[in-house]
Parts: sequence; structure tokens; C-alpha cells
Amino acid sequence: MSVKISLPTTFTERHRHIVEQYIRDARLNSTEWQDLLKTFDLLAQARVQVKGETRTFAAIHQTVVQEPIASDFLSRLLQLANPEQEGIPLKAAYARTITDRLLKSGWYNLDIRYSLYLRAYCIFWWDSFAKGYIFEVAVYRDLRRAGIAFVAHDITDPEQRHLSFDLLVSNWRGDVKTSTYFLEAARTRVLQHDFYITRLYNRERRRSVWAVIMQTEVWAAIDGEVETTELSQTHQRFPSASHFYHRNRRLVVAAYEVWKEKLLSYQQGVE
Amino acid sequence: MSVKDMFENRSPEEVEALFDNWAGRTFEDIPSDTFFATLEDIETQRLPQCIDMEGEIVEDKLVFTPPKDVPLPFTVRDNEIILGDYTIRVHLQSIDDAMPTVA
Repeated sequence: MSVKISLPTTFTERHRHIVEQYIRDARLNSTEWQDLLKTFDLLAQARVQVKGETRTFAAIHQTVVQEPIASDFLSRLLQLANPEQEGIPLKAAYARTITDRLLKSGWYNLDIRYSLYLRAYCIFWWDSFAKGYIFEVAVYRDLRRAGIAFVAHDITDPEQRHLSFDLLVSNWRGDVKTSTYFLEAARTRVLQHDFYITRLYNRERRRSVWAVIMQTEVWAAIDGEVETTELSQTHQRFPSASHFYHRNRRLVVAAYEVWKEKLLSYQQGVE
Repeated sequence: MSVKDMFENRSPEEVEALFDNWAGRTFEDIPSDTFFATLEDIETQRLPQCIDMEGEIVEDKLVFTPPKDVPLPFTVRDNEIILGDYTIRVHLQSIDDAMPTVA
């Protein structure tokens, strides 16, 4: 079947380079992370033409990959005893079906140059989606174990997945985002929720550390102590809590474990 | 890296191996120094953005019509724009009130 792919005219060799680097699992610096997010945003507008019908990469991803597998994946994820570990092979199993799904849809042709960008686009967003929910489920399990009172959206319900926030804790609206998704949100939107739970890699401890980035009011309410820091110096203090400014907003970053402990005391004191 | 190294120029076997490894990758948490440096880059590279929006007068109220297919960084509700903690509410002055008094 004749497939024609048109990449956006603004998609340059630099963007292709970034996709290649990312797929090779190369370590990216801060500029490259931004470029990567911009690259996959740009690819959303790339077009595939088959028999006179044209669709964007974003539309193909939504109808051929995301909608058919998301709810099934999330239902299975919720059944796992250890979602953070067992969720990775599960999302990989779904990712490995993407090429077949694209081929069967007729929008993908292995012989067409640039078809690989459609495949890369679909895997990138599938991987981000799946890892985002694996993390989210792991956070909910941990909060429940800790005895934190919260209400979370039902991730198996597509409508609830589109709510602007993921969970309510003591009337604060929160979101759970992997570090990649958090940066995408910071790049494209105003960080308006009361708190964001994310995960960062701590080079000194050589392991991932969960972090909470929140409005100062939340941290003040749960009695957090903090020092104000330049954004560029924040990583040196992390996981100790510090204030920093982003888009004229004063935010606090603290280690998730510390936040959780203070939040539990706060909830016990209020109730 | 040359263009020859780009993944669309690799052999099918190499490409399959790359995609297969990618599919199985675990969390790639961004190191905290890179994360905050990226946030700082986002901050410094932020360009003023403009979104065109239409409005119409409905019963003495200016009602905004948000553009379709444009992801908005704010919420629009009738005569209100909700941006973070701020709600911008537009009240129309009646034309009679707005006209300067002529002696």
C-alpha cells in the first residue's frame, strides 16, 4: 500500500539526531531534554498519507495505539502486586505490539523512509503514558500503606484520566508525573496544582528519589522548614527542602518521604 | 554523528534491536541537576506567547470563545479566564458610563 510521510518543514537534522540519541539510550543534558520534548511535540504534526487520506502522527497514535490498549494495560497494572517492578515488563509487552498494530492499520510501511519516526513517536508517548501510570499506581499504594487519607481518580475510566488533577489530599489538588512529564508540563503549561509528585535520579545516592514539588502554602501548612535557593542551586540541596522560583511562582521541592511524614502528622492533627 | 548514523539509515536488524531495547527500558529518571537545569532553561528561554480569542456580548456580558484545537494554559468560563490562582473577570462598562461627560 502506498504510504507517504511528510515531516514538518521545521523538523531538522538536529531533531533527527535527538530522536536517534534517545533511542540509543544516550545520556541527555538539559538542553537535549528540552530539545527531545520539542522534537516529539513537533512530530505530532507530521502527516501520513494513504490512498488520499491524511492523518497526523498524533491522530494515528491516539486511534491505533493509545485507545485500543490503554484501559486494558491499566486494568492489568492495578492487579500487579508490585506495580513499580512488574509494570515495566508489562508496558514493554504492549510496546512490542505497536509495530504490528501500525502495520495492520495500514498507516505504516517498513519500506518507507521516515516511517520509523511514526513508530518512534508512538513508542515514545506509549512509554511515557505507561511509565506515568506505573509510577502513579506505586505512589497510591505507598500513600495507602502510610495511612495518608486521599482520593484518587479512577485510572481505568478514560473520562477520569482526563481530569486536570490526579488526586486530592487534604483538599489539595495533586498530580503524579515522571520527571519527563513534569518537564513537559513546566514547558507547556502553568504549574497550577498544589503539589506534584515526581521522581528524580540522585547521582550521589546512585538511585531514584521520589520528590514533591509544591506551592509554598502546602509546605507551610504541613510545617515544613525550608531555605530559599536559586533554581540552578536547588539540586545541590535536594533532597533537603528548598524554595525556588519558576514562572514567577515560589515553589518548594522536598523529598517525598519527608513530605509524606509531615502530611501524615498534619492529617492526624487536623482530624 | 553523521547522517549515516541516523536510525533510518541503519540495517533492519539494528533498528529492531534499538526499538526492542527501548520498549523494555525502565524509568529513566532525570538526574536532579539536569532536571533543575532544564527547568532553568525553560525559564530563561520562555518567550512571550499570544493566544487570539474571540468574544461576544451576551446579555451585557463579554463571553469569551476559546480557540478550538489549541491547548490552552488556562481555563475559560464565560467572562472569566482562570490562570493558576488568578481569575480574571471582565466587567463591561456600559457605553453611557464610559462616555466622558460634556459640559
